[in-house]
Formats: sequence, structure tokens, C-alpha cells
Amino acid sequence: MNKELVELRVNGRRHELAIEPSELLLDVLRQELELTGSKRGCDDSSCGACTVLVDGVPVLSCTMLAMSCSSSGGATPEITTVEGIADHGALAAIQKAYGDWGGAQCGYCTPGFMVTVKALLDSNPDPSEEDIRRALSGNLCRCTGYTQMYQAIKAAIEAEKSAR
Amino acid sequence: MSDFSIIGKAVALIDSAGKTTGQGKYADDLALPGMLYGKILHSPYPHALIKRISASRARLLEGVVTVVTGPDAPNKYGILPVGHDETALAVEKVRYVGDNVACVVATSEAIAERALELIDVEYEALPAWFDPEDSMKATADWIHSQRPNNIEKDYHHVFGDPDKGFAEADYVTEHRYIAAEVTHAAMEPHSTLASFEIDSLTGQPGRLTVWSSTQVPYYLQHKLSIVLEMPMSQIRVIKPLVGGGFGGKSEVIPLEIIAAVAARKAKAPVKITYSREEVFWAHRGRPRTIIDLKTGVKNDGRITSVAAKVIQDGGAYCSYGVVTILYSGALLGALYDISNIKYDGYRVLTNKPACGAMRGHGTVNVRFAFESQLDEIAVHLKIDPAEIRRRNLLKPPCVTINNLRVQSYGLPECIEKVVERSQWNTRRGKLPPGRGLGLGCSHYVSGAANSIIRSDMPHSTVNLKIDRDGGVVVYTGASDIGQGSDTMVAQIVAEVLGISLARIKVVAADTDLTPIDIGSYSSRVTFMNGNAALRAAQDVKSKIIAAAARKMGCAPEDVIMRDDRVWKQGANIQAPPADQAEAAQGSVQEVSGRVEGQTLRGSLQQKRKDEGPKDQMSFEEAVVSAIDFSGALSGTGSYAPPKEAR
Repeated sequence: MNKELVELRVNGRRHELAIEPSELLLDVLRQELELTGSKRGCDDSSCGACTVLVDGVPVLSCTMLAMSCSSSGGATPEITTVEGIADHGALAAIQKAYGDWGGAQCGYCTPGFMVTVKALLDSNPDPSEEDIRRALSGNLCRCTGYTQMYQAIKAAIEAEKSAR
Repeated sequence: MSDFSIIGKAVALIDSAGKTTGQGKYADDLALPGMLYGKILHSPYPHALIKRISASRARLLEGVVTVVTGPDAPNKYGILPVGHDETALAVEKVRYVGDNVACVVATSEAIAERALELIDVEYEALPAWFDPEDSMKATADWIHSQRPNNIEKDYHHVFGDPDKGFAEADYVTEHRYIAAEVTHAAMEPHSTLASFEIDSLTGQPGRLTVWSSTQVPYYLQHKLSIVLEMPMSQIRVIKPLVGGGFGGKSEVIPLEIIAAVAARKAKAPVKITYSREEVFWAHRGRPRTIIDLKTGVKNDGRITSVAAKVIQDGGAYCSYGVVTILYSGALLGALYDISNIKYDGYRVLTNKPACGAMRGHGTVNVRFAFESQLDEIAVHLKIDPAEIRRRNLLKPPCVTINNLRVQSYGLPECIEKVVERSQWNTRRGKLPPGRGLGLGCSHYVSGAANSIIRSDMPHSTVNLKIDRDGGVVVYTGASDIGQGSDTMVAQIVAEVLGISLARIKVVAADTDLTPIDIGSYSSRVTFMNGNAALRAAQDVKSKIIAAAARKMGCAPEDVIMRDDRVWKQGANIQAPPADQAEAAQGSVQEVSGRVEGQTLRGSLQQKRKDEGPKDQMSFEEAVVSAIDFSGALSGTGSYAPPKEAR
């Protein structure tokens, strides 16, 4: 299949890549850009481990064509992966809280949760318990049972508030 | 000072930052220069002879490097020494839809996938069995010729006098219970990367390194050695981060062997990662189980006798089956005080993905039947379900009728807590339709007394290295699969040495670097590897204390190590100033007090002054004095189950 030259903006950096039109965003991120934080868990958009943000909106990169995220005349969409969440080389509040509260056990689903929670808190800095549960409903975790995650998210919100 | 300073406290997993930033590497995140991708061709038939395989069309596709088939590695293996019934790829027949037929190695996954369609396989279908009770009646076309009537293993155990027990019962009930098959569904699909190095002396492919999503790196090393006919010392297995196991990675999974065989044939590193569909085919989950259960009780609810006939639908290969069906019977004995037990267990082969070990290995389904029947008995006798359980409790420490040692129990306290917190006495039977309160109990053995490959050798060994600046490296074979064993080991070592967690680095589950640990299964890691870590740390501690005691002019028993300091009993200990406590969180702490130190390549070259005895010192000072005293400082500890338990 013929490759095409595309431009992707990932975590604030611009990349020019030659990719096949059929390539999935997840594969391009993991294999071409070596951003292996985003995970493949299910192949069919049921687990959320591959979640990334496109212009701040959570999308499943395992079922999205990479080409659909390149510039097509207008502005190039901004892709944020888990690697783009850390705060100037240190853990962001939510990352620290997930560690402290046991929100990550095996950690395979964690990158998807990190970007999903980021999208939630960016749009709604003080979510209710129900807002949190609804926002996380597209991400599966097999280890923790979620309670520790809810605690971590609340702790991160408190940490952000007291830092402000 | 009897309280703990590190263990028993909630700390972040020591690898949590790698997990929340995406920097941590799982097997499929790894890549090597020149790495190729493998894709497996799976059988579309549940049971068929392979008459012919032709891969010539596939090989012609641009980007395909090689195609691997059964004859490339025909040696049989299996997780249990008594169950060597698998080959890397099917040699003469396939036994379930999804069985492994061939593997294409190509420069991309997409090309490998396209090439699968170009492999021509001629099958001759055989009769297939999907229900274990049918399968047991088979008189021909057995799934494995060495297993007549498709019975992998049967056990017939009698403990006490079950007939007498039933005769003494006031009430006997008997029912059939069926538990459905379950799979582990770990978030991470299995993945393996295999790579050979050229040997400098022979110029030929030599050592093999395998990175794999495994709970049992040392068993993988052993099975690779059987299939590839290489010494174990030439095979290095490294467990990167593992995205959950639950038993699904507790044995050697086909892709782990296939990747190594493919790398050998392709003469290049090969990575294979399962799709989610392939994970279901590889399976090794909890088998569908048919339980015919009979229980006899006195009118007061005391159990007099139990008889169970258990049939497990094992799927097409042995896997852990011989053990699963053993545990199903053995664990009938250890939860309640039962003096008469009869058990007949059948592990049956069927043409379905192989079942294996899954959380609560062997016990869960039979426990479901047992607890259900106990509830039915409670209803019949009009005894509260919590009360009938109380009336049948064991009194540990004790040995059960089937010779299980029960050291710790906790069940009475557990039942009371559940009764209290569920408001059992006030809410039960009064909830709206569709809601109810029930009680079920279960238990498990913390660590099997025998390893899969029988020997008297330790099940876990841990080594410690201490650097001159007080940094501690722990080498443990334990496989952290998300349960936190790396953190557990670090906590135990930190506690024993009285130092902060920040000083400890854990190197884990790398067969070249770490001493053997038999794996993350059987709820054994904290017990066995934790004890090995404890002993390794105590070994080092005794050396540090001997040197510190000499220096402080006191008996070793009077030396205390805690909070990154070492002092003589009764010394007036000043808490370190806040800024120094902060520094202890980092990797380097300054040498203070009366020891002169100079930084040399990141470590401390220590010069001792002639000085009188002191009564306290920093951890690094104590370490340096121990190195001075004995020339080197390292420790080792092992755990082997006691002989009487084996």
C-alpha cells in the first residue's frame, strides 16, 4: 500500500511521518513515535487502555486512523498521550495521587485512565462523584476495583486546590 | 520500639511512577533493532489430523522472512512434568479451534497477517468432544493417544470413614452443581520478544534472551531449554512489567515458545503479541466443573461426612489439570472440621482451549457447591447460615483429616465481622424483592509445599548488595505482576535494616541476575519470597551490627538500627534535623559526625580517625565500618518449605 506524508502534533511536538492510510493512530504512536505508554488491551474499543486526547477530547486510538488526526487544510489537531501529562518532568497531581492511593496495580490500564481523568478535570475542575464515575465508565481495570481510583482523583483535586 | 516503621503502612508501589507516566515497559512496548513480527495461524477445526502444510505461497510474499511449523521444534513440553503434551506448533494434529498450526515471521505485523491466508493446510476432521461426560465415554480417536477415554487424571481419596459418617447423620442431602468456565481477562494480552546473540567463540547463534509477560520466568527458562535443546544457563528470561496475570500467565503459553523457535529460524529478534481473541484461545482459565455433592449432618448442623464426585472440563491439553483436580478434593478438608471425606475427581480432555490455573486454583467451583449445599442444609434444619458455619469451625493450629496443616485461620473473626457489618441479624430476609444477604466462606493454601519440578531446594532466594554510600540493591526472582511484590520485598528489607525505602533498588525476575524464585502463583510470594528477603536482610544486618558493636564498644544485642541510624541501646538519640531527614529521601546522604568522607565516583571512600567509642552513627557509617571489618558486604536468604510439610 502506498504511504502518504502526514503531519501529527503529539504532546506539543510536530512530527512528519510517512504512513499507510490504513494505519491506526495507536500503532503510529507506539511503533513510529515510540510512545508506548498508550496500550492495546482489546482491539475493539471496549477497554479504554488506548485512550488519548485529540484537542482535549478522549478518543480510542485503537479504532482511529492516524490520518484523521493530521492537518487537512486547517489547524493540526493536538494529540495528548499519557507521556504528555507529567508536569515539567515531575508527576502531575493525578499521577502522584494514583501512586499514593493504589489507583494503579498492574498499571496496564493506567495510561488510559490518566488521559481520561485529565480530560475530565480540564473541563470540570470540581466534579461530583457521579461525574467521575461517568467519565471513567469507558475505561476497564481488572485489578483495583476502582475505589482506590476515586479516592486518588479526589485527593488530586484537593492537591490542586491547595496549590492554587 | 516494637512497632514497625515501614511495613504495615500504605506506600506507593515503588514502580508506580512508571505506570502513571507511561515510561514503564511491558513486553509489547519493547523493540530491538532488526526486530521481526510473528503471527500465528490457528486451527479452524476442533479435532483434525494435519495431512499437509504448504507455506510456499506465503514465503513468496514480500516482507515474509520465514514460516515456522511443528517439525521445526517437535519436543514436547507442558507446565507439569507429568503433562508434557504440547508442542510449539501442531506436529500431527490439532485439538481445538485456535490450536497453533504455523507462525509467519515478517517485517511487519500487517504483512505477517496477510501471509497467514497464503498458508495451505489440508486437514482430516476427527470426531470432537465438547462435554466432559460425553468425552469420558469415547472409545476411539482419543484427544491424546496416551490418555484412554480422554481422562487426563482421576483421583479417588477416602479419609476417615465416610460410610460410617453418613450412617451417623440425622440428615443427608445430595445434589448436582455446575459452575461455568471462566477466563482471567488480564488487561495486557500476552507478548514475548526473543533474541539470540552470536557466540564470540563459536561464531554461531548462542545465548537466547526472552522478554515475556510471565508469572513464572524460571519455569519458562526450563521449558525453553527442553524445546530448544539448550542448557538453561544459555537462556535468559526477563520479566518486564506485566499487566496482570490472575493465573493466565502462570505457565508457559504457546507464544512464548513459538517466539523463541521463530527467532532461531529467522536468525533475528522476533516479537509476538496476542490479539485479544488469541488470549481467549490460549486461555488456561478455570474449568467448567460438574460437582455431585453429598453431605451428612447431625440435627445441630455438625457435618458428619462429605462425598464429592467432581468432573472438570479440562480442554485439549493437560496444563495444570492434574493439580487443579487434586486441589478440588484436597481443599474440601481445610475450611471446616470434617472427619470423613470421600472424593472422586476426574480431569477430562475435551476439544476446547486448555484450562489451567486461575485465582483460587481448583477450589472455587467445589467451594461454590459446598457453600450452596450448606445453605440448603441450614434452611432444612432451620439453623442460621452463619451459625451452621460457626458450629463446624476448625480449632487451629491443627492438622486436618487429609493432612493439611492449618496454622492461621481467622474464619471465626471473619464471620463475626461480616455478621456485624452487614447487619445480618436485622436485615436478612427483610430486603426488597431481588435483594438478599448471603454468606459464603472460602480459603486457600499460602504456598504449595512442593514446587512443580520436585526438589528439596529452596523455593525462593534473595540476594542483597550494599554500596558504600548505604544504597541497597535487592536481587529477587519474585515476579511482580501488579500485586506489588517488588514493593513488598523493598519494605521488608527496609524494615529489617531500619532504613528508608528511598535507599532501596529492586532488581527482579531476571534469570541472569536474580536467584531463583519459582513464580507468582499459589499465593506464595509474600510468604516465601518475603521470608527469603527477611533472612537476606537479617544476614546483612548481623554483619553491620557486629561491626557497629565493635565500634561502639557494646554487645551486638544492644545495637539498634532504625530511621537510617544505628545506635547503642540507651544512647541519647537526637532526631536528625529536618533538612537531613529530607536528604535521606534522595539517593545520596552526606556523611556526618566524626567520620571523614570524600565522594569518589559517587561512593564514599572512608577514612577512619583514631577515636574513642561512640554511641551512635548514620547507616552509611555503619555500612562502611562493616565493609572495613569484613572486606565486603552482601547477604543472602532462602526459603524452603519445612520437610514435614512436603
